[in-house]
Amino acid sequence: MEVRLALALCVVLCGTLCGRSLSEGTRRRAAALRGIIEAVRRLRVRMTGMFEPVQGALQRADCPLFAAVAEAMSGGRSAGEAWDGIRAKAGRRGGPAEFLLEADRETLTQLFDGLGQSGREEQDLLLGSALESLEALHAAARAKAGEADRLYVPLGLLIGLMLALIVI
Amino acid sequence: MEVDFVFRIAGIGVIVTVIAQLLTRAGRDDIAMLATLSGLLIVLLMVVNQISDFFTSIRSLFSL
Repeated sequence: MEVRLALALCVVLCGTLCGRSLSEGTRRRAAALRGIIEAVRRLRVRMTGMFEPVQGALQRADCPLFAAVAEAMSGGRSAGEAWDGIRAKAGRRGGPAEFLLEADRETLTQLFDGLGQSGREEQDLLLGSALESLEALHAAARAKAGEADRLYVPLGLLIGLMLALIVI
Repeated sequence: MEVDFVFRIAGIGVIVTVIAQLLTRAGRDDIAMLATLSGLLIVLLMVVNQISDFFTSIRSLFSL
């Protein structure tokens, strides 16, 4: 009887953890976007305030994704070309852009394509516009993460309970 | 039929209802419908053996 009860508890716990891991992806996307927004703010200060070149500013923006783009820029490539080159790899498991969706990557493509291609005022506008788009995406991602937390964790728990009832 | 079995079916019914409500509130009506139908199917599969035993008992009782 105790063994059956323990097994039932294990099944319920597994269901809950499965639900939690399903909602994890949405939470990580929101956190990744937050990190990128902070990095773009730092980039804006370095490029338009301190007149740093693009590659150096990306390197010092304290963001793994931007650091990867800066590294890919060695060899005289522009930020846009560097991002194009590493985009697929960055989106894979364990990459800096793993949890980003296509819409997020498109926004970053627009940003990187324009980086270092015009004067100070235009760069400021570009970075400001990118920040706005990223903030909107982050707000949507946070809402979705909250929704996923409220849905998937209880759903996992209930399915675990049902399996425990059926099987044990 | 054991009483446990009835309670198990009742428990599954309650859980499926709560799952369907949760999914409906999240705007996933189609998945809620699927969940309800799946719950129904699971209970029917559990009950089908009992129904079969019931008919066998009736047949043997009335020598049909």
